[in-house]
Amino acid sequence: MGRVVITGAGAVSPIGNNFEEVMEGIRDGKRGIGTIQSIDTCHLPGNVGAEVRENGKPLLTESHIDRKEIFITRAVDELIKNCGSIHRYPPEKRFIHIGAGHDYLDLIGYTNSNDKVTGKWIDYSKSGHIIVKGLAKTNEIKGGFSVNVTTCVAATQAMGTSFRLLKRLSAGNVIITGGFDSVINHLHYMAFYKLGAMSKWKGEPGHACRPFDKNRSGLVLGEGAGVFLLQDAEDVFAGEGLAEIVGYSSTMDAYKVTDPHPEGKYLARAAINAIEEAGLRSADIDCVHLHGTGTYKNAIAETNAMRQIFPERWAEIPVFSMKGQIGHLIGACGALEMIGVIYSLKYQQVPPTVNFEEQAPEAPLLVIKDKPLHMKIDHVLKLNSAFGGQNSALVVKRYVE
Amino acid sequence: MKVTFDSYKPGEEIPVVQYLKNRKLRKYFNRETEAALVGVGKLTRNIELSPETPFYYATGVMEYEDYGLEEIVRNSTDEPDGFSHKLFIEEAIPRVSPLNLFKVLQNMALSFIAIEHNLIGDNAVIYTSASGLLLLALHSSFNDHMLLGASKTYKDGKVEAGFAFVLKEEIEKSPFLYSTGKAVDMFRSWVSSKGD
Repeated sequence: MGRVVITGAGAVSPIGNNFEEVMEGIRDGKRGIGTIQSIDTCHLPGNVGAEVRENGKPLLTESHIDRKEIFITRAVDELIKNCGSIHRYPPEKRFIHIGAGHDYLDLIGYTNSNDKVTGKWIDYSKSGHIIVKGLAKTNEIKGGFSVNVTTCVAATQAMGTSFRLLKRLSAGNVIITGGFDSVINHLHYMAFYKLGAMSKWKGEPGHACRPFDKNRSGLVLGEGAGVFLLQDAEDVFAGEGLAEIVGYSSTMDAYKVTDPHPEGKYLARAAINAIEEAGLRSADIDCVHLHGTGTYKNAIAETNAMRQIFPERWAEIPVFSMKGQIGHLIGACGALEMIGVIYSLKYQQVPPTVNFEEQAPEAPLLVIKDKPLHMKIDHVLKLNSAFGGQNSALVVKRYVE
Repeated sequence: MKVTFDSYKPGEEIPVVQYLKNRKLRKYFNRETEAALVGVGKLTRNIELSPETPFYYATGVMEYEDYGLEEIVRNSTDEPDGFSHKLFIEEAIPRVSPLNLFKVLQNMALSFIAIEHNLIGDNAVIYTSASGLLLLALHSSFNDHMLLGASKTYKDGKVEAGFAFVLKEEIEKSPFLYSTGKAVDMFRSWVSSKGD
């Protein structure tokens, strides 16, 4: 069984349009959440979201454009441009396994067309499957491709199952993994609104997503893409390694499709399984990058999971959520948040969770506030949970050549 | 390997109620989820499913009809100008049930099957690919039977769902591991080859 090393990354996000910019955005506590400008919000019940920006302004696109395709194409281009190592592998040894969000539908184009008479909406829709198939073709990736669609854990599961695949295939194979999504369009925005999941924050938009804060009031939708190159340690040249994935697990709550299991029982189990797979004990985990959506129930479920994962020190282990900065990227959240994990391992810091101001009595975790916590970090536990009850955990290690 | 495969004609009733412990859940289902629950119900009729059983599922594109697309479009149209943001919010969206989101999210069949059958193990939902589905099972650390499933809604409203209770040894021998075919076709083929 091989060792799986992350050797490159590409990203497009509300806080930066490439991997280095996202890393700087984390360092600077940059806020990517603002007033939505890429769609007409004048009649929407809310107007807050985390949009991808260009030159300081939200990227504007025509309704027939699926924004998430732009993001994943740019992220993969960045990865391939910066990672010459992929060219060391023949096309048959290159794989792409990506998490994707909801299929896009050009509602305006369809409504304004004659196709609505016959109900031929499929030509106005785009799936992640088609997009990734195209990327595989463009980039001569012939080993295989798949697209994970387990909503909010899609990217985490894609990275985890890629880790499993490469561990088994070992040296001589390379995988592009990660996730991409955009839910900032009329249909998806209103679907989440109707569920009552959106932040009710009335103040500055940049403060609307408040993971673990006493005054948290819901999630903020975001968009973007994050991709990573995975190689076996035997194939990695000096200076290429960013981090090493050492454990992965996924579980299901089998509870309710609307809510996380309040005891966080199976989220904890995913974490414990991943830690065991890494050959570690919970005492070896230095910090935890949580799902941290900013909803009331998420904070309780994750706090209860932490109690089970770290029975002795659950309130003492530093935790972080990136969603205060970039919102909830649904099918891409685990991918962008993996950059936060790499940041912690590279700079030996737990960043402050943006918008965490006041401890919630029901979630008394050690959420880092205001300035980063500098500490020795060898292992980070990354958790994500999905609407529907799926939980995923990755253990990521500081890469040592 | 134990396999099921069912095909339902457009409009044909899917007998999901017979396979539901919690009948209140039915309000969340589209026809594909109903077919999936029937498929798992049949497959597990004489099997004691361990809660730890991994469950990997392949699905198709989001079925926007199930979200109420026709009604949304009708009520968002301001003749002769076409789509109206105002009508979309004031007339169309209020007619959409919040439950409709559960009918289009691609992880819902897996989620409801997990709830109904108390499955808490490893899992994933991918788009359509037979080989992708088999690889998920093949690379699992679990070394007993696993649950694989797939479903698809066709343009004309026909719905298909297939499920199998398989071991890694059975997957390793499958030609579908190297195919670009659709997962739902794999279950149809498996059932045909068993003469069911």
